[in-house]
Amino acid sequence: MAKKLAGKMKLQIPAGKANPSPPVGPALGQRGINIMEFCKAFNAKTQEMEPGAPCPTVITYYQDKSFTMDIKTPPASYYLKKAAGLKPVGKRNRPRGAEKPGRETIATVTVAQVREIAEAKMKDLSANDVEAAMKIILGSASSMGIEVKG
Amino acid sequence: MATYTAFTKLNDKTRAEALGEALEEMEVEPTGVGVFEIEDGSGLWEVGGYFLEQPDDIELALLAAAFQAQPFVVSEVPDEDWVDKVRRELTPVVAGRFFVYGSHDADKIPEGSEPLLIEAAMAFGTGHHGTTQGCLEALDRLAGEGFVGQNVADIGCGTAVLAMGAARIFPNPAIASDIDQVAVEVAEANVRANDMEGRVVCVEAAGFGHDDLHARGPYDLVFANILKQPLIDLAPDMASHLAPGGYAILSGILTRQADEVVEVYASQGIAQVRRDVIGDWVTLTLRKSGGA
Repeated sequence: MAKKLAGKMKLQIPAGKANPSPPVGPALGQRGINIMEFCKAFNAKTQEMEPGAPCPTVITYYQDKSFTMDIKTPPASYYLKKAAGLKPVGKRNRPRGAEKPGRETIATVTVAQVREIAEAKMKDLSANDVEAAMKIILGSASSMGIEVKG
Repeated sequence: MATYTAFTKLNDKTRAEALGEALEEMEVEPTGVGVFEIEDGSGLWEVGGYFLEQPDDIELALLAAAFQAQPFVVSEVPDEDWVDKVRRELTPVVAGRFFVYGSHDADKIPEGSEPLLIEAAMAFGTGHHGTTQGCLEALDRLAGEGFVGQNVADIGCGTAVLAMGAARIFPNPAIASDIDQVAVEVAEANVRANDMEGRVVCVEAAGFGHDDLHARGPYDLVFANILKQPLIDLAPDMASHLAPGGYAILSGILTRQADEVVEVYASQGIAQVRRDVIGDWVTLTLRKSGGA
């Protein structure tokens, strides 16, 4: 079919838990996109993931109100928080890092955990191999005040 | 619960996308960010964020200035039943004898129409676009003139709405193909939802590139609602798969592109019979030379 792009949006949606409340309802509703069909498809696609894990999702919609979605892996900060045993804070369930990154350590994770995170996020990182992906995760850890040991 | 949006406009896609990324890093984090092309020919892009608490005006003003965008307009999102609002907007589409509707309008099917249940979801072809509507109207017109399709293919089928329309009014099953696996899955689901299993066969293929499509040809009616360049690329294959005297209904063509497509198909012995315009989009009804 003659897909004619109308717009793109990126929403952070908890895995398996898309529903018509904000941001999904207003964001899609204001563009006339079928909210329930979106929620059904999103929840089906994320049913194997950890329920509630925040998934950045790029929604591309077309002039006839059809749409596609590209569901990314949760942010590195989410995985690091989990590995470090930090509690989620903020409206987007993201962890707050250190107030003074580089000068304050709020938690620690192991190299093995960093490798696991790198492997989980490989498909969304611009990295050629796991080692390169680990460097990106290490950068995120550092900016959050999470020390890597082992 | 009050939620907020902050929207601005600017005239460059790259800057719009960069601003969208910058919005994500705001102190009051947005729960969503959107970058939208404004469809009024102005060339403007709209960038907005959705917030669960009121965003900071100064931060927004700095972002707008940094990306040469208009000042942000912050609004409280009305507490609305968004599901119901969308359903009210996704109204049924009438195209000739065909009535394309979502399940929420199942009680509105007019007597004597050919109903096609299509949810606006993950495949193009909901009926809410001039190209789909144009193809359905062209099909309705051909059938009204006495044409009875014996062997129909829908290339780039999306929801398979066109194949299902043909299978509803013609005696034999139709075949539908799409290059996109998700679209094929949606098409198969639509076939089931319309109780048309066995009446429409769906395959994943680029153009006519599938054994089933080769085996079933030649066709006396082929739909191809794709875009100009894929249609032009498809022309030789169309000529070889279309029976003498067979029809091709083509869409996905902007008005300014139609002459070029007609010319290419004419060079393959497939000549224009009719040209219909809905909005900016043209639907061509073409016929291959030969036959009765």
